[in-house]
Amino acid sequence: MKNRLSPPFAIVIGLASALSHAQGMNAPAPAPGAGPLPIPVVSRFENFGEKDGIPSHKVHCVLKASDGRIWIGTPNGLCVRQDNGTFRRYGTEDGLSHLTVLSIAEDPATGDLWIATLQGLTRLSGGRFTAFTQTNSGLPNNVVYGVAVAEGTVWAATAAGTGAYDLRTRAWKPYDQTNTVMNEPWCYAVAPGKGVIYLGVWAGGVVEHDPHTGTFKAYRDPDGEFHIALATDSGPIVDVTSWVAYDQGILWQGSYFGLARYNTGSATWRTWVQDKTPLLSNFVNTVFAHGRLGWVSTDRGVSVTDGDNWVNYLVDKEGRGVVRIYRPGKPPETRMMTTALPDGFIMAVWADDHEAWFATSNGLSHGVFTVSSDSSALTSNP
Amino acid sequence: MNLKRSLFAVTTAALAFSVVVLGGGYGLRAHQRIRSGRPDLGLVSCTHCHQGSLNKMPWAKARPHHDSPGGMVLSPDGKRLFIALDDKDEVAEADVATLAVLRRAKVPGGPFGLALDAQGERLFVACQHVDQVAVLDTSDLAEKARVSVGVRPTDIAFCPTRGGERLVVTNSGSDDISILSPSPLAEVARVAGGREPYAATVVDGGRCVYVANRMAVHDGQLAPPASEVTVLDPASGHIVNRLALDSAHMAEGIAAVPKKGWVLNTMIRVRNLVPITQVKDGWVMASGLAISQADGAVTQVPLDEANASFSDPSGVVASPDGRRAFVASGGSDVVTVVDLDWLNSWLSRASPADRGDAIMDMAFSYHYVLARIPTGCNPKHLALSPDGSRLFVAERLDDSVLVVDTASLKPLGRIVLGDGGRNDPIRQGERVFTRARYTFQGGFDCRSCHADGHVDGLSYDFDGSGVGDNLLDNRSLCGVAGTEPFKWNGRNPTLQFQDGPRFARVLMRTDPIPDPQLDELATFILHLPPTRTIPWDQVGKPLTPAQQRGRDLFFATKRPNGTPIPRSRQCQVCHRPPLYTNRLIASVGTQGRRDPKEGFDTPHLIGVGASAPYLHDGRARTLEEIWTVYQIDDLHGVSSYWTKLQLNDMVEYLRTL
Amino acid sequence: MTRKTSASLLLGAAVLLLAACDPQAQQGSIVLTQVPVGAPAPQDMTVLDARYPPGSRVVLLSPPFGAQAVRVLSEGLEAAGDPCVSWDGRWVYFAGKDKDRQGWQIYRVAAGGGSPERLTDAPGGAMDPAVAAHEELVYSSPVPKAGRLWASPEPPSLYGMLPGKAPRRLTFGPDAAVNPTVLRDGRILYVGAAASDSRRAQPHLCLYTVNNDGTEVTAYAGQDDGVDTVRRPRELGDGRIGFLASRGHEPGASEWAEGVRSAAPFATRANLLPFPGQGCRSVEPTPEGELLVCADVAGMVGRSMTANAALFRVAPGAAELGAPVFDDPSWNSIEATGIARRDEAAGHTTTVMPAASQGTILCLNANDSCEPATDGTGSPAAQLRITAIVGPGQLRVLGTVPVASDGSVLVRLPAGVPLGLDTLDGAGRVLRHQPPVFWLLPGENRACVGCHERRSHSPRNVRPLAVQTDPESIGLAGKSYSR
Repeated sequence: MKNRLSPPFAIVIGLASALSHAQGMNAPAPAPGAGPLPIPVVSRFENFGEKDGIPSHKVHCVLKASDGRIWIGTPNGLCVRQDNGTFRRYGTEDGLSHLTVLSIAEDPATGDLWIATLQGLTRLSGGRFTAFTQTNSGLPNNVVYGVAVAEGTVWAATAAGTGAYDLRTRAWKPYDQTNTVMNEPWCYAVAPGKGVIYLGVWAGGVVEHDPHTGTFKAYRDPDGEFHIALATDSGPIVDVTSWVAYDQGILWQGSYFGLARYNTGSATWRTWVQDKTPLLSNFVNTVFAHGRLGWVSTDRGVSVTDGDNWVNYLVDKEGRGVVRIYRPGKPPETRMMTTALPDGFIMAVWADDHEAWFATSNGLSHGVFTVSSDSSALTSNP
Repeated sequence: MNLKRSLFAVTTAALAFSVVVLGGGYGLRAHQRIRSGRPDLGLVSCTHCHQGSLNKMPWAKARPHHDSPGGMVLSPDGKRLFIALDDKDEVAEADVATLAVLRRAKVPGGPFGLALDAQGERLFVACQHVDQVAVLDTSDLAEKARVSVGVRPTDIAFCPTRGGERLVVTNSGSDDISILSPSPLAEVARVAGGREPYAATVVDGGRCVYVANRMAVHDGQLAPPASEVTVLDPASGHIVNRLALDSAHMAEGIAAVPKKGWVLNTMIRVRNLVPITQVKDGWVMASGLAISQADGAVTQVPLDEANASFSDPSGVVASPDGRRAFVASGGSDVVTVVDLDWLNSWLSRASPADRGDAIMDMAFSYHYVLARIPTGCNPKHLALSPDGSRLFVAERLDDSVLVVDTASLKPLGRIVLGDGGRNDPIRQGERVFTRARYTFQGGFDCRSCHADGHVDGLSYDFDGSGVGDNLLDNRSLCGVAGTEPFKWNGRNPTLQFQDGPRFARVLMRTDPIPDPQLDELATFILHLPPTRTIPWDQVGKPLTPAQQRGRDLFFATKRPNGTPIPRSRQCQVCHRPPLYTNRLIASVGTQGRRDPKEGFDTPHLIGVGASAPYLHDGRARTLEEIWTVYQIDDLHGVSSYWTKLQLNDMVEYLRTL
Repeated sequence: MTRKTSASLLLGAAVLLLAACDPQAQQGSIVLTQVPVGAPAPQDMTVLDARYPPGSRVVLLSPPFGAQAVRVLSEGLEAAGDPCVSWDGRWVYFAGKDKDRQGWQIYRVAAGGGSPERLTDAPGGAMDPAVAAHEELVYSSPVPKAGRLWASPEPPSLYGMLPGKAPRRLTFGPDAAVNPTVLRDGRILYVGAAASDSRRAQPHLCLYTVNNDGTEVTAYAGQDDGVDTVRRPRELGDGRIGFLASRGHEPGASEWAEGVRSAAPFATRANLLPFPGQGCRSVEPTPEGELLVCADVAGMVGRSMTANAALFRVAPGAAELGAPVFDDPSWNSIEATGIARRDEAAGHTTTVMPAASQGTILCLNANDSCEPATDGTGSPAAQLRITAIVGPGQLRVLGTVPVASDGSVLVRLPAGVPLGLDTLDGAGRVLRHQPPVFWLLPGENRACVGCHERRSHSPRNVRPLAVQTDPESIGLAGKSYSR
């Protein structure tokens, strides 16, 4: 069964929504007696755009590096937020391999940034850019959608397979349909798991690779259907994978047809689609995993979930911020916010226990959490 | 009758001989043409293909070993000097007062870089030949522990950090930097350096470590190269900064300057993109000093003068009061004394333009060079006593350490380590190799472009028959024995021919190296072993699956569909093992617009993984680019059927050669 | 006297006899030019006649330099002067005038004495001998008339002549090239006139270097500073180049010694001696690091105001000239140099290709200059105009070549003529002008950083656009063809 909401539940949501609008609620405090929500809630958004030095209205990705600096990828270069709040841009003239930056990852061992672009992978280390392309290196393809660094290896998901760059030996290992269980080479995302790597394959579900044993395992949609979820909670939502993310034993699969979660401890899947679940939209651009939470970027806003509880952020027709909170067994809460995301089309999120950053098609947004939110519960909630 | 019979016999024998000779010659030529796939090939020596065993190469044979001083470090009390003797696999301990060698300890693996802990109890030794760091107890010089690091570690720095004690090791062969925990001895991180991390210095009590990278990063055939100074936080292992030394190469010395917050790098400012028309005024290269200030600003200043050069700047140390620096010039046998106070004053008032232009002004050093102290042959590493009163100069090719009084700048004596190896022709040749006197005004020497005999990764425009039409990639001299002819046009049958009058004319602009020294130079070069490109612990191990697949491609005679690959385009025909060259001219579609001919000498591939860039003019930055960017019509091997995986496999195999 | 003592005496006598026959000079000897005090100058004299009037001679002074220790080396010549010593210390070269030949040529004599051997037979005479690597004789020729050294219709040039070989012309400038000396790095340092559009009788003299094949003529020092006249440059061995300076163009009592540091020759011109040195006639180094100075003793304690020139030895750091080491009141001791073995100067492998008729010049950036453009607009150069002196007083525009967008120019030009360069803007207006002063040798490849570039500067490490194509070729008749 794909995770779907029962009709009564949908009615409750509608009622709660109407009630919240009627009450003009704008403070995301938990309802009395509801207990702490295991998801931090954004109390306000601080938005940044071209006026702040971001060289494009569109922001593809965002990363808060270990030194606290905010990096974003845009169609017009890489940017870092400076101490004065403005953004400094880096382009091809600085050594970036292409202006269109799709994804950014930090090497936790060195602090180096690895930047996925439409024409190659770029390393930013100590202020210096180094470009890796399909012609000057073993990178499988220049179109790099996703990048991750784990255990001394850079993983680059490209349009022609995933490349693994061993930082110690400088050797590239390409993975595609010829040497893995992938059914096709087009990879959108890569997520390091616990001792394994998850590859999001465009029409091939999710492939789990153990680099130590060299083994592969494919997770495919059991019903094989794009447009309808016949077999729910039993595998990837569909084979079309737009993103994968992993943290603390939880693997998330984003798709343009819904969302799936794989609990690696229990080896169980859960799936969500819009309309039948709190998932805002089936069109999932990316998922950011933090603890047990998945921050799901969709074309209609952001859904944050631990699989049971949901907090959705969307923008209404008037451009106002709306937050909807779903708890199991309770009516959903809908509250208006004094601030709003700059756009409902969300490309990516970065979040931790204290803040969240949203890459949208109309700039960057900083989500400031409600002080009272119980973040300690995030990791303890099963 | 007898006469007739004799005549008949002679005639018959002559005819038979002629048939055998002509037939044999024809057959031999046919054999060569078939095997090479080159129907145009004239009769060549059989040794082009039948190369014999590598074990018979000069570099594979036993040779004399010498007491060449490498890295040095003084005990905290300044009474003892520890000296690495890499060629002897020993570390020596000398008494600074008496200049006597107190004892020697065997440290296998080419001990080269040394560091002491703060108490002077543990001596850390970078062993470059076996990719390891050893720890000795200074009380008895007994080895206590050993750990593997990256390829060819050359220097080691001890630094206390907020996270505990750390050792930073420069792995010159794997282009990375190891961060070790000394107790217990273990590698805790390895970070990417520039090209050939070579020396390290601790700044600000261990807040960060600056690493000199000897070779320049070549970012395109016509782009100015730059050597990197890697700045890292030894506590976190994070890279803090990567400073670029514009157009610098051979940046192999580094020193922190107390009280000024600077880091000094010795470097050669190279002008490889400018056609070589003269040597004077640093038109080919000039020695310099790079000053990195705490704010990340880097200023290069010359060490050469308007009418004299001091080649191969190597070791550098700064006095404890930060007022003077000492720089060893290995090719000119001098130590230059630099007035850092003058430079400090100048830097405080210099405009950015002034700073940028300083390295171009060959008369600038007149202001801050206080003295040039003559030394023995090939001064390299330097060390200063803790109080700054004594300077120790490793005279590498004299097997001695010169001790200089830093107040009077006069020599106080020498620590004699060996006999200098005057009877060893290889050693004598190395002296020629490192001697700048054979170049106009001592501008440079062989080593200035061939550190350790290898490449500097640059392309130069030699003054051939014209200007600007002869851009040529610098080729490694390591493992070059048996690969004659030399030069990209294959016109030099011997090293003597290569390095004699022709070089004097197009490059050195002085009299040719005299014949006896030329022979010694050739002897030294022929004894240079191939560059090791793989970790020591992988030597002799079976190929990985990827490397094996690459090897299969290298030796492929057919495409996967069974179509034969023409012999002339099979990798292993031109790059025939064991030397990986058939020593013939080949056209691989790389003739440039101003190249006079389309054919070039087939280079050997031994150590090719470490000799980027590639092709005759260095146009290919990486091995991949040979086939992804510069392959035309499958002229340089048939690669059109390769997948990206196969190309990667091929590269992996080539990197093992 | 014992038998042993007798044998020793005999042996000593034999050694002395052999020594007397040996043409080598005694260690510490000095070769010296002596000019008779008050000698009248001849009529229609040349510059050498004025400098070395009849009776002038080159002599060998042996320690302890008494008057009796003088041995004439220029025996049989009417006049002689300007000695220099071979690298091995065995030979002395000098300019001499034969009584019969009525001309000045270069002679060689064994340092210990002997018959002078004439080495040159240069039309118009030869002067200013110097020795380059491989005992190559360098000299200046012809010898101009007195007072016409810098205005002679046939200005003297430098020549090089290897033993047994024909002389080769080394300099092709529009003005005289005189007083050569050979630097340790093998280059010939000489005195020439600073670049100028007009040939003045009193040009600004300065130092140039040229390789011993005539290539790479380069300004060395004094182009931009100091008084107008310099003479007799010498490498002193302590990092300095010493020379004589004066305000007039003829040698004499008004000269003083100046020097520059070779490390920064354009920024260090100063008096060479730390005491008044007026009346200095020559400065030469000794192997011991001292200076041999010939200077007038006029006005010195105990001497009249019209006294002669004597020889002094000046230690490093000496505060005064001190007492002369040799002083013969009948003679002016004007040029002294020590006789000793010295390290031979470096050689130079020539890049000249005699069969060629052109050389190539690469200017890296015609807009790189330490002088502002004449139009003051900062317009970049669009063209480079090449001029040449193709005959006495004949300046010809050979043609123009385009300047690449990065300012670089590559062009083949005729060899062996003085060449000048003008940068022109897009409208053809002159931005910077350099009169014909340099030359190319056949097959020489020459490059410069810019036009009126800063002295002693290296180029930036950039690839000039101009080298991406074959150079244009311009002949003496003008621009000939373009490839």
